[in-house]
Amino acid sequence: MKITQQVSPFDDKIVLLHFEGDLNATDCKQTSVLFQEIIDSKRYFIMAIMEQVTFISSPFLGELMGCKLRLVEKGGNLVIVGLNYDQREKLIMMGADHIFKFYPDTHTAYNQFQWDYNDGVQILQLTVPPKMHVVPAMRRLISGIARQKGYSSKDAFRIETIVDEIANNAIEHGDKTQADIDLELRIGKTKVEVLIRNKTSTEKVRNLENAVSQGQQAIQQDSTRGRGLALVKLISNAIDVSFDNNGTFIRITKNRGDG
Amino acid sequence: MDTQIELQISDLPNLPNGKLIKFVGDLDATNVESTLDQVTRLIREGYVNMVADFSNLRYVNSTGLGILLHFSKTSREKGGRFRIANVNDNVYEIIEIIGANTLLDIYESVNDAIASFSQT
Repeated sequence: MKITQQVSPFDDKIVLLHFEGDLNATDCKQTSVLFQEIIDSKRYFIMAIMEQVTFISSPFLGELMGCKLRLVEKGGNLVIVGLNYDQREKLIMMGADHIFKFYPDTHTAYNQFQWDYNDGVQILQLTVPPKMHVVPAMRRLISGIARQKGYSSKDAFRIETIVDEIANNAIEHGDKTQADIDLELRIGKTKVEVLIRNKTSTEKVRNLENAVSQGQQAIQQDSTRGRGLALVKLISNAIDVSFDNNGTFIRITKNRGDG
Repeated sequence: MDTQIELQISDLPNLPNGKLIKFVGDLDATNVESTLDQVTRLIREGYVNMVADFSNLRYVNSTGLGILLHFSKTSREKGGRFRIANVNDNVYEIIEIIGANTLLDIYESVNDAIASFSQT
């Protein structure tokens, strides 16, 4: 067995341990000492990179579990990265997949670390033509991402509604000469932000301000239209509208699990 | 391509001037016009007592709700009713937030909605 140690260039809280060769019972002591040194250095996140590993013995797996336990007690974690198919299957048969998370590469593991521990935000940017027919696919994509990220069906439905209403509004009231609409989704563990930018005439901007400020009042009116932004205001946690020479910019924040 | 919505229209033999309309899909800005056309045609033909079955309506937005309110108002003006049944929780929440639950006749089931006609 050979181990090389490196502090992650992306986050100094993470230690990358590159394992090579067979991980036998006789390697446990050396590894245990190394794990303890890492914990003593107050680094509690270990990515065990096992692309070059050819065998993992049961005692060594036990050593990894013990280390993980010590790290979890400190608020950290140990994850396994790049394990080949055969070794992975073997660990799964031993039930290790219930204890460790396996990642195909460090990039994926790092993204998950950001998500789990740094309140990381993942960003999706879309530029779409100002046509109504593109909105359904866009809203369902974003709703699907929210579901995949663990948001409830109810939250995902509300996020879908927000994207739909805000995109329809940008298309319907936008400057007819506008080329594209830019939409950005910033999805984090605790909240989602939807940002949309488009070209809008000054007159429409005033209407937009009114619609946003009215909220519930706007939807009590006996009209079949004009409820979209008021609805967005009611199902989101914050809505900000700003204007500059580049057009109208709306930012909507929806917190997770608050309804 | 518009979002798919299908209106499955069938007779309600025991309800004079009645039609059952099953909404299947999403009701949104891309298909309100076609939905409006189909239901308005029914009202024009004299079918003013309608039961809308929402058991397969996955999604509705504010534009879609707008035309539902329009159907309710128009059928009432013609001496009939537009009643809704089997609304899923997510759709009901949007109806409620927008305040349309006080303006629309909503029932638990199609049978309840049909039965309500004999009580009015």
